[in-house]
Amino acid sequence: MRRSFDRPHEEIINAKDLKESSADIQKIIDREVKFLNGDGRKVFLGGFAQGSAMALTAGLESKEKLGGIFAVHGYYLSLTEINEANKETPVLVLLGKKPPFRPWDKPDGFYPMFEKTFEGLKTIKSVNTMVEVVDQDVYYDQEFIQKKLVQFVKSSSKL
Amino acid sequence: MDADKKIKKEFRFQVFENEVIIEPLSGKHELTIIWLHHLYRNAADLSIFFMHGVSLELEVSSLSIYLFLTHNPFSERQNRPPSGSGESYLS
Repeated sequence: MRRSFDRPHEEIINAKDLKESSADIQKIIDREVKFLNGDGRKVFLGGFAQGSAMALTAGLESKEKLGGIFAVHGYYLSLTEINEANKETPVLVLLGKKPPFRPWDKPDGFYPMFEKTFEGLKTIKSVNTMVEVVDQDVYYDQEFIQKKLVQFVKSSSKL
Repeated sequence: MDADKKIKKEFRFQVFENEVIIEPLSGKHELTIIWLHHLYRNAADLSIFFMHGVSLELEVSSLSIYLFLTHNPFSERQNRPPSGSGESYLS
């Protein structure tokens, strides 16, 4: 029997919950856009691991043109319905080479995730999508993540 | 000794049922980062974005951390509570 974490993400997640979460995040985006005088480009969506997958889904599905999406060590869900408004939105995906310390991870466990993320991101077809595979420990090196986030926000704000 | 310390920036830290909002007490609202955290990581961990180093150079006005639920891969429970029932199946 295959374990749940050996199966494709699309098989183990609940699509209905995913869409509900995406809709809830959209409400937060709408609220923040209102605070920012209607400028969605001042709203950035980011996340880590599962949160990263959700950030890509909710951000790319958003009807508001966002400033950027910062996804750390996550994956791309093919269920994502990319909104025209965010086809050109800057996206930075950071993937850490260092494997997590979880007993069920296979030694090559990350590479299928890399492939899946790369394949998925091709469908975004945005000139502003970048994937960086880094040596840093993206699980615990929060200072590194913080620096990358700041760089990303600053560079995206200039676009 | 603490009385000698100069405050660089003050933040309001609000914890709601499904959201944590951190925002500076002063300045104009210029930027929002909505951060979706890891399944096992506390949302408040992300407050480090504001706490030291380069974070202070970024003119972020608020950080909204949304607590969401998709699926718990560790639970093979068949009778999951319906969404919105109030029961967490992560417990």
